Amino acid sequence: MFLDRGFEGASIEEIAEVARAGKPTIYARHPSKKELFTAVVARNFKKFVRFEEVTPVGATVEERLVSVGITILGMALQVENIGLFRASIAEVRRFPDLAKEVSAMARERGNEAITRLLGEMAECGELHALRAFGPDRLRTTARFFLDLVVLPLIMRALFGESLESLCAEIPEHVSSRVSFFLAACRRGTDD
Amino acid sequence: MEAITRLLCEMAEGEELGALRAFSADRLQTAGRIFLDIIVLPMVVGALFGDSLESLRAEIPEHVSSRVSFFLAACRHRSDN
Repeated sequence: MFLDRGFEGASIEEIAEVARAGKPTIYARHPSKKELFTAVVARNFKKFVRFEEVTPVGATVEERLVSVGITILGMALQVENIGLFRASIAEVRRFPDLAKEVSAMARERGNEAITRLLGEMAECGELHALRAFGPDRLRTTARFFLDLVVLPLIMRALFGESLESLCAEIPEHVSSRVSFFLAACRRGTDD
Repeated sequence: MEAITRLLCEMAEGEELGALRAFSADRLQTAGRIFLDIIVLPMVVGALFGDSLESLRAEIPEHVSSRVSFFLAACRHRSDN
């Protein structure tokens, strides 16, 4: 309903009808339409971007990070996710908190998951010796990874590029970005 | 994209950046895209999702500084190896 009509166009009455639930039931769980929408986005995001299932695969650090990037992008570039992100951006002037909550939820979940994965990968092998993978820098490094690898394709999807062609680009895109990411981590920054 | 590629190209005429492989003519466009993606895009996405422009502007110097440092670290490492 939200995907078809946007946030404003979907009424609680219609949502209740489609969900075969009474309005009081819906309001008991979600006191306002905004909270219902945020819950729908969160549930959808959780359903399609299952970070807990992301397992690095491969013999080298590069291969393992590439597998992580490919898996996350494959899950994120779903019609439902992109549609709900678009719907929240479209309502940003009327409901500024709505989009902020949606974006914070996506960013926090993503950052938490990548921080955990990088931390696990840094427990042994080459990454352990790199400053970028020190406990005090892991969150920043995870953000760089997401911004460099994941965000650009999501942004292009938000602006209407075909999900099919973006998905076809994923392996090459992730491979080149992971290579850039690791180059920066290996060199280390001056700060 | 065109503007940043041109700017990087002009900067690559200098000694230090000119010596980096990432700033060679055939790689400049890729470097420009990565520069925009890692430095500009996160702020634009924040703004689109309703973050206050005032607070985003206040974050610009620190954000750009750390991202430029990361960007240059990658460019330098790739030239050394």
